[in-house]
Amino acid sequence: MEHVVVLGIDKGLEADARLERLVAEHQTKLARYLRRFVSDRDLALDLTQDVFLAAHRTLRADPARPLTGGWLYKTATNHAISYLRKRKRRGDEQPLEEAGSAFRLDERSAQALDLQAALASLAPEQLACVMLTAYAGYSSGEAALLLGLSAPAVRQRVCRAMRTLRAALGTSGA
Amino acid sequence: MNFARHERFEALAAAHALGEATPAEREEFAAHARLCPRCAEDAEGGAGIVALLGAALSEERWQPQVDGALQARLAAQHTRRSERTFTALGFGVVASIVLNVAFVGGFAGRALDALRVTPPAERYADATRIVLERRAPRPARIAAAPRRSAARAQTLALRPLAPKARPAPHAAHPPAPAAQAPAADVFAGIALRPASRAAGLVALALNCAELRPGDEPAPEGCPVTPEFSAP
Repeated sequence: MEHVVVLGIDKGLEADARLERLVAEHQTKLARYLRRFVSDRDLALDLTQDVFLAAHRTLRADPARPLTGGWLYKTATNHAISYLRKRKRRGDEQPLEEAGSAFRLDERSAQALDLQAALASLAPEQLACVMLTAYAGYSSGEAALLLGLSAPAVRQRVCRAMRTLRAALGTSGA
Repeated sequence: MNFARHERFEALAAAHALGEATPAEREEFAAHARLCPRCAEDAEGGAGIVALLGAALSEERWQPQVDGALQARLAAQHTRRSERTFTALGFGVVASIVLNVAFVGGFAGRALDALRVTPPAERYADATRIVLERRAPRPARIAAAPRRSAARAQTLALRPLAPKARPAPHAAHPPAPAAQAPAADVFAGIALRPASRAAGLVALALNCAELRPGDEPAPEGCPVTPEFSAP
């Protein structure tokens, strides 16, 4: 009985320690990544906390499970897609000037604002493929594994998303 | 060129833009891009978008910190879970008490009543029924006790017991059962079983105590007399 209790405490402590390491390593990149998805700083922070809470639950259930940055990005992408779908279903899509007011403080260049507006015009599935490959730095094969797709499907979505982005940004080439 | 084949070149254009196309894929795409300006534009424009996103990433100045808020949420979650556990435990204890009381006091009582077996009448057919009968006192005794009212002057008519024939302790041959005197006491003309004897004597003693308050002399026939107290 004592052995079980000690193991339970060890599991909890190990989960907390691993979560601390994950938070310290990934919190900034993950919050920025999610802000590109939802165009809102506070919302991105909330979603980031949700991702780490999900990681904590997973680690408490199975401390031996290896949680990498890929797992965090996958969970973050799923959370962001769910949020975007809910927002679209509710029909309360906010304009970028109101929802993403933080960008005006942090990124004063008009190009960055345009880029954010163009990203907001993408479908969530295309946005996920673009963000994982062109922003987070994963290859199309890794992104395919994270999203549960094939690599050619991810590349096709990236190609079509980039066409949409080019049209939104008004650029024909580089 | 069919549509499926062109989809493949879309994927190659994206791979070219992301910079992850293999040399064979690059050659294949270059051969196609010479004939398809749209795919060539996808590859060039895609590379520009990738560069723009990379620049946006490098120009980020926002340094979010979520660990403090995360610790607070974890602590709140832990507290909420503990409260929920204690609440559930309390409800469980109260519910079990209520259910136990309801079951034992209500349903189980009725069920046991329904299950209770009425004993058959013939099982107790040979049981002895004790009947205490009152008789009118003798006139001479009533005169000796003038304070007693006529109703209370009734005494129990007791018949002295016949002495039992007990076998001698060192008798060589015990007497035959048929020759023995009856073992049961006789009270008011009724033979008492040994189990009933004590109850009969207690009832008699209570009756005599009722009839004999204070320092009045014991009425004749009271079981405190030796012949009744030592059967």
